[in-house]
Order: sequence, then C-alpha cells, then structure tokens
Amino acid sequence: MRFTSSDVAPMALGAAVLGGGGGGEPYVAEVALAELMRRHGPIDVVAVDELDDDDRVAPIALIGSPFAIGEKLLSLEAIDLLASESPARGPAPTAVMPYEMAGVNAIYPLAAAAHLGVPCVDADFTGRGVPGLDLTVLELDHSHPRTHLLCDSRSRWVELTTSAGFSTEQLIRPVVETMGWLAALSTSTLTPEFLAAHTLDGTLSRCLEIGTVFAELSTMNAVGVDQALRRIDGVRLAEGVVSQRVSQADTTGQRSSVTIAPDTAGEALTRIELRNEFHVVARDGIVLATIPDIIVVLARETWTPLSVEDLVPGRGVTVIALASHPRWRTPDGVRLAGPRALGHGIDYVDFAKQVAS
Amino acid sequence: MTTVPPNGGGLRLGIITGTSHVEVAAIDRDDEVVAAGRWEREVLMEDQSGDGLGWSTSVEHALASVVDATASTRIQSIVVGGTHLRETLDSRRPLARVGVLRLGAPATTAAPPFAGWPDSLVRRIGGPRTIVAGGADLDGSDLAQLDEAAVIRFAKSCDGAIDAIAISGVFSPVAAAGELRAADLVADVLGPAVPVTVSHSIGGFGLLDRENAGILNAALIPAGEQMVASTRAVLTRLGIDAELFFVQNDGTLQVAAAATSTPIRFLDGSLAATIRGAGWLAATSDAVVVALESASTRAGVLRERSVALEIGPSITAGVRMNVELPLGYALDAGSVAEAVELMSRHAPQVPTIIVGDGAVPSAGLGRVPRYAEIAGAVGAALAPVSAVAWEVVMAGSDEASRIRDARQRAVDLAILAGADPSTSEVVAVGETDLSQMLGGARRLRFRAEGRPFTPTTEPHHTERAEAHHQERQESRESP
Repeated sequence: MRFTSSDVAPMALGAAVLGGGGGGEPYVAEVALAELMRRHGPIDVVAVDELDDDDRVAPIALIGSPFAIGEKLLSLEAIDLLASESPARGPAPTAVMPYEMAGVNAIYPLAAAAHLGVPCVDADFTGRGVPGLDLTVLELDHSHPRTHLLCDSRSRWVELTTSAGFSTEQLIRPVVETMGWLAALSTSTLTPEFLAAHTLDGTLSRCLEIGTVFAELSTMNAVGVDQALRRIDGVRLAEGVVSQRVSQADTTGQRSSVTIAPDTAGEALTRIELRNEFHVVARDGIVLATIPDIIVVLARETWTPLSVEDLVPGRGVTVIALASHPRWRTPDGVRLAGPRALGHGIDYVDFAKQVAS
Repeated sequence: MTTVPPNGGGLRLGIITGTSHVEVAAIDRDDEVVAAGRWEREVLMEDQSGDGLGWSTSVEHALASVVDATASTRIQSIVVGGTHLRETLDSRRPLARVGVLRLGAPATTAAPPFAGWPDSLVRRIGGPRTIVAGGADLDGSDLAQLDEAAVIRFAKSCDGAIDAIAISGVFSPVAAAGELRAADLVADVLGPAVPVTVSHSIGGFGLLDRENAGILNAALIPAGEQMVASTRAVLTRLGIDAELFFVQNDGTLQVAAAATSTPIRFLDGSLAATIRGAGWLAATSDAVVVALESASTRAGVLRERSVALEIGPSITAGVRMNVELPLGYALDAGSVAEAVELMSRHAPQVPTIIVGDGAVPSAGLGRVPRYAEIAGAVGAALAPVSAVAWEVVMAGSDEASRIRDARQRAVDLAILAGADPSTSEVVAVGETDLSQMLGGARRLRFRAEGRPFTPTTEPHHTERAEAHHQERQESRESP
C-alpha cells in the first residue's frame, strides 16, 4: 500500500480513536508527518508476509508523558540515532514498524519511515492505546526483544539489555523519568519470522479505516452513525455533559471517576473510570464496557476524540466502545489487560452482549 | 440615543463594534445605565478611519454621542472592544511579516515553525525561520544551552526582511529566561523598533500551539498599534481624559498598551462582552445567551459569571493555537431555537437570555432583559481586568511554593494589565491531571481579576494602589 499525504488526516483521527483516551494526542506527530512527506513523498506500507527474509525491522515508539511530547515534539536526530547500526541494535533496519498503534505512536513510525526512506510495516504489538510496555502481545507470547534502546530530546542515549525475568516496563520507567518524561524507543532489530509470530497483523490499515469512518460521523444522523460504527465493531453507549471529575492516587497511580449527566433530568448518570486510558463505562450500576476493548469519548459537536485529560466539567461528550483485537478478548488477553489487571475490582464485559441485552 | 440626567462623575463607558453595528453604554457609579446608543455600521461607513474597516469612525461616533449627552469630564474609564482585529486577519489587509526563532534543537526538529499552516497565510506573513539549540525541560533545567551565535545569525538574516519577530522556546511557561535572553540578542541586532513577541507572554502549554499564537500575535502588532493609536486620537479630539481599556477574547479587560503588545488576545471581544452583559442585565450568574443581530445569530454560555471558553486548542485563520476563545456558535440570522438547543448541550438546565437588536420576547425561548440591544456595551463597561498564569507541579517537592508563586504571578499580571491592586485576586483555578506521569503531576491555570484601575476609583484607594498609580503615571510620561 502507498501511504499518501491524503491519508495523514484520517490516520491521525484513527490513531486518536484507538488511543482510548491515551496514547498522546497525534497532532504533533501528524504535523511532523505531513511536513516530512511534503519533503520526501509517499511511504510504502508493507504487510508482514510481504517482507523479504533478509529484511530487518525496527519497532519505533515514543514513551513518556503526552504533556512532555506537546512541548519537546519529535526530534529528527533521535530517529537517526535510534536507527543507526550498533552492537546493541544489530544491523540498520530496512523497515520500521509501530510498537503501539494508537495516538502519537501510530503516526511517529510513519514519520520515521518518511525521514529514513524505508517502508513501514502494517502491524504492531498492541492494536490500541496501552499504559505500558508490558501490555503487548510480546508479553502474551513471552517473547521479548533482547535489547531496548532509548534516546531523549537532548540526544542522550541508553541501551537496556536484559536476560529473562526482568520487567522491561519497570526498568524503563525510571529511565524515561530521568530523561525528562519523554524518550524515543526502539528495540534490537527484528526478523520477519519474529514479526510473523508475535505481532497483530493489519493494524495500520485498521487504524486508517477507523479514521476514515470517524471523519464521516459528523455528517450523519443517529441511524447513520450507528450503522457506520457497526461496520467497525463499534457501539454508541452514552451522551451528555461531564458534570464531575474526582481524582485520587492509589498504588497503581492516579485514577479518576468522571460523571456524565444526561440531557434529560432524571435519567441515569453515566460513569467512566479512567487512568491513562478510559477503562470502564457504567450506568445504573451496570457495567457497559471495559478494557481491553477500546472506550472512546468524543467531543459532541465535532466528533473529535478526547484524551483522559480533556474530560473536564462542562464538556459535552459522546461515548463509544470499539472491539479490540481478538487476541485481547481471549482469557489470557483479559488476564493481562482487563479491568482487574489495571486496578478495577470487576470482570471484563463484552459490550456487544451488554448492549444487546 | 437615550440619556438620563447625570449626577457627579465616575462614568464608565463601554463601546462594542460588531461586524455590522456599533453600540455604546455609559454606566454611573450606582451601576445605572445613564446613556445608551446603537447604530448600524453601514450608516457610519463614510470611512475616514484610514484602516479601511471603519474602526475609529465607529468609535468616534459612539463616543461623541455620549459626550453630547453628558460631559467629557465625567468619564472615568472607556472600554472598547469588537471584531476589528479578527476582521483584519480575515480580510486581505496587510499584516506584519514575521521572522520566527524557536529555541529547542535538537528536540522539536521534525515539526518546524509554520508546519501545519495554510500555504496562503505562510506566504502572507512568513519570514525567515529557524530552530536553534536552547529551550527548557519540564523541571526548568536547560534542554540545551542557548546557541547565542545562532540567535545573532538569525537576527541578521531578518534585517530588512521582516516587520516583527516571534520567539518560542520549549517549556517557556516553566522557564522564560531563554526566550527573554534571545529577545535581547535580537533587539541588539534589529534595534528596539522591531516588535518581538515571546511565546510565554501569550499562552500556556503545547509548543506548536503557543508558537503559532505568538506568530499570529506578532503579525497583528501593527494592526493593534493602529487600533489603539486611532482610538487615542479620537479621545484627544473629543477632549476626553480617561483610562482606556480594551476587551479581551474572554470578555475581560486589559489596558490599551496590552492590545498593542498582545493583540491576539483582543481578536474579538464582542460575543464575550455580550454574554457578560446579558448576565448582568438579567441578574443571573449562569445562562445560555443568544445574541440576535440583523446579520447573524450568535450564542454562548455564561458560567459562574464568566464566559465559558472552548476547551483545548482553538483554530484561527486555519491555524491551531492555544489562545482561549469563547465557546460559542455563529448561525444564520433568526436561528434562535437552534442556538438555544446547541448551547444547552453545554449548559443544561440554565435559563436562556436573548439580547441584540433582534431580541423580542417570544414563546418560551428565553428572557429579554432591558437594554438587550446594548448588552455588549454594558458587559464591556462593567467587566473586570483579568490575566492568566500557568504552572506545572508534582506532588510533594516544591509544590506549595510553585503554586504560591504562580498565584502571585497571575495577580501581578492582572495589576500590570490595569487591575486595581486592592481588589485583585485569583478567582479561578483550573487543574488538569497529567497522564503517564507518576507523582500526581498537574497542570495549573490561575486566573486573577480586579476592578479596572482608574485615577478616580476613590472607594478603593489604598497606599498600595496609590503607589501603583504613581508608577503608571510616571511610566506614561517617560515612554
């Protein structure tokens, strides 16, 4: 597939949707990608099974706080440094791939591909926004790259090579904090066989498709919206105005409960539990949707996806649930990335069944 | 023109110039409307303003009518607001050509200045642009040491090629020293006549949005200067010696000098002033306000006596920026029901107030207060001065002192912008949890307000206010 400049906007919209409230606003990467494509032209997007045996792939991501990304933006030098041949990396990559297909991280690898002049692989390790490196199919498969590479906005560099048993997430977080809450991340170069075994396939195309559908929602009536959402395994759950946000810290970090007041007085309030992403939607004591499915909250008039930071009182919103990749909806997937794993005392609920009943 | 026989001094005048009309209100110290007027702008369009948009003609007409009706010596403050700067931006009128300097390399380089802008606007205002080493990190430390030689090279490349400079630095709302140093270096090369906008004086967090706002601000500086100068010329012609304030986008005020240095905050105060005025006229703190004019219907929300603002970045002239604009809608003339329905989604279960010259009591849609046709001018005349400061804090560490400093900064900024020191205080604190950061990191926004400071605000004279007034008098005498 040829990824052209007209794909940038829908891709960024899809990336924001897949963020499920997290992943960092794609805007900064979107602007950079458009600028780089203006200079370098379209990008080749290749499926995993289109890779040659001797291709070598570098996963690329930004790790850290969206707040820091908004100020420090993306560094071209960090991309060059991350992609250079080195003992830790191995050979220079012949292609890049997204690590996390969501938010800024769905767009950043495309920008890297444009800058480096290599293709981008149509696959990733998450298929949605996740709060940490340990919520990936790599973790489900117990297969990790040997080395992680980190480069910060000052072009300072860290390599982490571990034997089995360490949590990469736990090792990396303090490094990222020391680097000023933002680092560009890659791993030792991966082979096509590794990708065939341990990635979610076609997720870049799905991101683009979701973005294309969401771009049309503002022009549709309610029936049209519901039909369009059904095509991408989505359902509308609630509408209203954010009336309250209560935040507190617990052992796993900051969490908030957001109350959404309905338009008609007397109808039930909708509640959203969130951390770095939206985690649970409930109404009248009934859980409507949970992670690992993707909970999307949109600004009501514009259908713009909102981040967890955007849900402040007075904001008019629409709440949607989208099915995550089938691997996340298995018992193993739910055990790793379901509500209990992220500090909520409830079980996973399949929103499609919940809404139907 | 309606007038009431006057008693004593202390008149506050509000003037709003909309796209199609001008309105004026004079309010006495008992908060009574003592003079009011409203005209269609076409009637005034025998344009002698020289700005091509009829600004000073409109202001002069409105002022003259009040001076005729009262006495110029009674006027204590004059507040002017309107759509003038937005019209300048949206029309094809000349803007300043802007050289852009960003302090950030090696960070930020993938999205250079003007990235994401409409090509036509870049052609219209874009001058030399570069990214040099510099900027701050989240904790205020240097991201990279400022490359002073590169700053000077940039300034030289701008010599003769630009009318204004915009400087942005990574995390400058946390640490402004780099932007200020770079501004000094640029001024050394280009001289003090070239206006320099530093991004931390414009907006909050988000480098691209703040930089974009800074660039548009720099581009608008000549228009802002002309707007203020032509207004002052009108005051001189009419023999009025009163404090001059302008209406910001959110409906609050700042002194005239602020409109020359930060015109981006004064793009359009008309809707926000109208929302505030409507709330005051209807004696309510929360409302959906619909302004019905002959050419348009506009609507917004009053929330706890302030104008509800758009959440997140706004788009102006196709450029995303973090200047706060009112949450609002502009619809075709007569779309009252639609406007009420749209706004009620943001403010359920509050009363609706209908103002503007098209406001007539109609079946169940909303209340029409007295003086509805000059609600904007009333809102302008009665608005407080306000200013905003931003900060980011983590739990523990120096959290308390950072919050204290930022609160004080907001109050100081309000006083500098013309607020009476004895009445200035922080009135709103916005708090955003920052995701993906441990330690309870929060982004904070402090808004301070105070009554407009004027030489005759007797009930509020204190020693502190007196000293402040003295300073302002002196600084006015020695420009």
